[in-house]
Amino acid sequence: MGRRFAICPFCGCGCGMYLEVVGEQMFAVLPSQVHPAGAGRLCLRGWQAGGLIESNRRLLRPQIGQQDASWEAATGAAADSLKSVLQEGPQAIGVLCGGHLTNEEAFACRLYSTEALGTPNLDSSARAVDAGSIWGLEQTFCMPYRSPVLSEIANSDVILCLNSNLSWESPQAAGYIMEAAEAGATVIVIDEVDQGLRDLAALYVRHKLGARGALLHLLVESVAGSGGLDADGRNTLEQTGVELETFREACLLLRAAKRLGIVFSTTALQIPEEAAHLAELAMLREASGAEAANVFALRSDCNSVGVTDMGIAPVREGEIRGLSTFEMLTSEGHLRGLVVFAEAVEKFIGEGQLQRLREQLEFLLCVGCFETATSQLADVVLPMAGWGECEGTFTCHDGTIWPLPKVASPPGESRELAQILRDLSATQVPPALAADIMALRAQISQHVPGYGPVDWQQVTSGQPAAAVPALGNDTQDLVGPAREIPELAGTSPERPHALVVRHDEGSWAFDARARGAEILARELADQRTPFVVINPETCRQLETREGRSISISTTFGSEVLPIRCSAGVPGDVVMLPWQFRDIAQALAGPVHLDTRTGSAHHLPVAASLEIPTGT
Amino acid sequence: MMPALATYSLPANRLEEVIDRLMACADEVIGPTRTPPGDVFFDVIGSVDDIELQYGNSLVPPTSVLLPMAEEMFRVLPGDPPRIEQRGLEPSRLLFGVRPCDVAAIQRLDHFFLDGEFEDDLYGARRSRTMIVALACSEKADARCFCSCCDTGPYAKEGYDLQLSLVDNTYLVEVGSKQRASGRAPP
Repeated sequence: MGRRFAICPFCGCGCGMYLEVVGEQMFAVLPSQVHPAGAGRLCLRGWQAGGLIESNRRLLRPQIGQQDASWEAATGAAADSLKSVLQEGPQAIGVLCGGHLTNEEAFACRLYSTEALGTPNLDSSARAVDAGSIWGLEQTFCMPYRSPVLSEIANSDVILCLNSNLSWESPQAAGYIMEAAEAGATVIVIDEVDQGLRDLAALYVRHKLGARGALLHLLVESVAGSGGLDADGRNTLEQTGVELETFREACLLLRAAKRLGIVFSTTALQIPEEAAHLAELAMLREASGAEAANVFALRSDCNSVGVTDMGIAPVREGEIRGLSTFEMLTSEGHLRGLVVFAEAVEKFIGEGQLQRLREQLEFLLCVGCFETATSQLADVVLPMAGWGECEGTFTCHDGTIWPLPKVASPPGESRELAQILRDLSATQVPPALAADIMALRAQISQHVPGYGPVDWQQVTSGQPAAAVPALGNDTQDLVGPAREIPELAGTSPERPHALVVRHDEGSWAFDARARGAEILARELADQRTPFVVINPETCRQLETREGRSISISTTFGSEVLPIRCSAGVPGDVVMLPWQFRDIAQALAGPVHLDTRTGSAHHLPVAASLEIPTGT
Repeated sequence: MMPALATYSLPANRLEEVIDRLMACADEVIGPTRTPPGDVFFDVIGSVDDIELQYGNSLVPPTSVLLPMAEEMFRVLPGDPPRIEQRGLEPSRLLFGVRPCDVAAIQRLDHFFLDGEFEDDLYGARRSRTMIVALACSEKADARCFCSCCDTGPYAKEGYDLQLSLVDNTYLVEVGSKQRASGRAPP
């Protein structure tokens, strides 16, 4: 029996774990007691990490047109098709990478994209989610953002939490908030709906939809000043829907904080200015004598930091302006070819829009581990080795680099990604891809800012190293605080409700890994069938009940969906989970795209609820 | 409670010398070792330097040595008819640095697998060739420790072959079994 240290392959907490193996059979996952993120704990997902290796949804053989093919035929067909698309120019191709690729895989993808394909359209799913808030933090701190170690949350005396559903998004972070609360910390939750953490909160600040930016701006002003609000401020506060007394209490608590912890999930804060306000708040408290004021921006994916460090981002230099994830997937007619590395595109745009995107593309290449809607629509599918099947490293939220072991052989005919990229580029301009992993790491040290001093031998032996890259040169001035709260689109007396598309506990349900690990797939099955969440009182007023269907209409369209009830959703709000992408776009319109960062979100819209005719 | 058969004192700076001598008593010495990230596991040690004495509790208890998560029970060799090959003799093991709570856990395993109507021969084979050197806790290993509630610590009262308790700079060495007192290897 052997034991290898690894980092959990799921969320951005990056908990350390040991894999117990006999031969190539993985028997158990054990949480590391000393790893600073997990400190002896794993969440439901982490305990199921072995399910990824034993998954029955793995891609096993190369495919051309959904028919099994040899590696030579498949890579040859892919290379020929890519060459054909490249004749329309490198801008015609886009490359999308998963946020759980290892540093080595991500660096190899970058070389392949920029050197073999020459395209500036390169992005990762991690950046698509994280970029909005991380960019906002970096512009304000004027330095690359690295989160403090998660366990530091437990040492806070006041915790400002921006998502009430953290226990799902980042379970370890929620665990540390609970630990701090038990030790006497004051927890303030600011959220438009209540999805769990309110029970822990000494103060729950519920604001109107879309009013978070304005509220945070007011908080910064008040904490910086005397704590009072001028007439303008009071007027804005009224629009946010927050009571003056509640606001004052929040200000007092924040001003009194000695060790302030600001915690939020990047999925929840897509608007850079909102994150910037939180950074300002932290800096204000530090400048006012607080012992510590930490911002914990919880990343979306296990190697969000590393993949971004490796340069997986749209190339933007001079006249060149590469497309970001949502721009690639939603800009009609721009792309003729799309290469997807270890990602399920449907997670971002829904299966309906994926079908439309597919019709637009001349060629779709899917290199991945699991069967997804993307792999089912791809012209060529190349199966790759996944987590635990090849050596690599992850860069965790705090910038420390940890090793990933190989404990099993890739299933079927799967190959390691670096080998696939070498095969793919054999008939194209060969990228300068190193022949083995240590040479690849030497290339990383040479080309990736901040990774020069990394002792890879030390990392491989299980001792972490730190990498701090320089701030990118694509900095821009922030537009400034948004004090005005946007009107709901399509407001009218006929539409008295507000529809919000929100990352909730099921946002992860369409992730290929969530569907790949059998137990997780079963646990999340009911999060893949569309539904809306409304207040039980609203349900009663409409003379319907949970489980029945309701018709939701907005200016964009209407849909009939089953009801789920939650007392945490205000009476005038209808909550649609983000993962139902096609429905979200049908009801809330296209995503609002931030061209500075590539982040995307839906703006709240006015909605009406009706019992469907015939029920 | 079984009284110790004999007690000795050992200067702490001579412990390594004793461990070296104990290592010659068994085919395998398994003790607490620290992984590079810093967790403690019971693993086969090659030299006295591998042993981590300053540890609280191991991530996986040493009971896993006696009752592993997976083990080969027998082999089926191809042929006509196929032959079943039984496992060979277990190596003799010295389990060093076992905390008193884990000694108690091993006693419970012994009771379950060996004292009933049916004896687990695989467990029995391993157990009979394993010598236990307990390491008493001179301070609370972890905030969550509860051995005093179960009367299983901070020092073991029985179930060990040798027990080391650090008192100032001296180890009190208690001998818990006649066979081990003679310094002989397990059978």
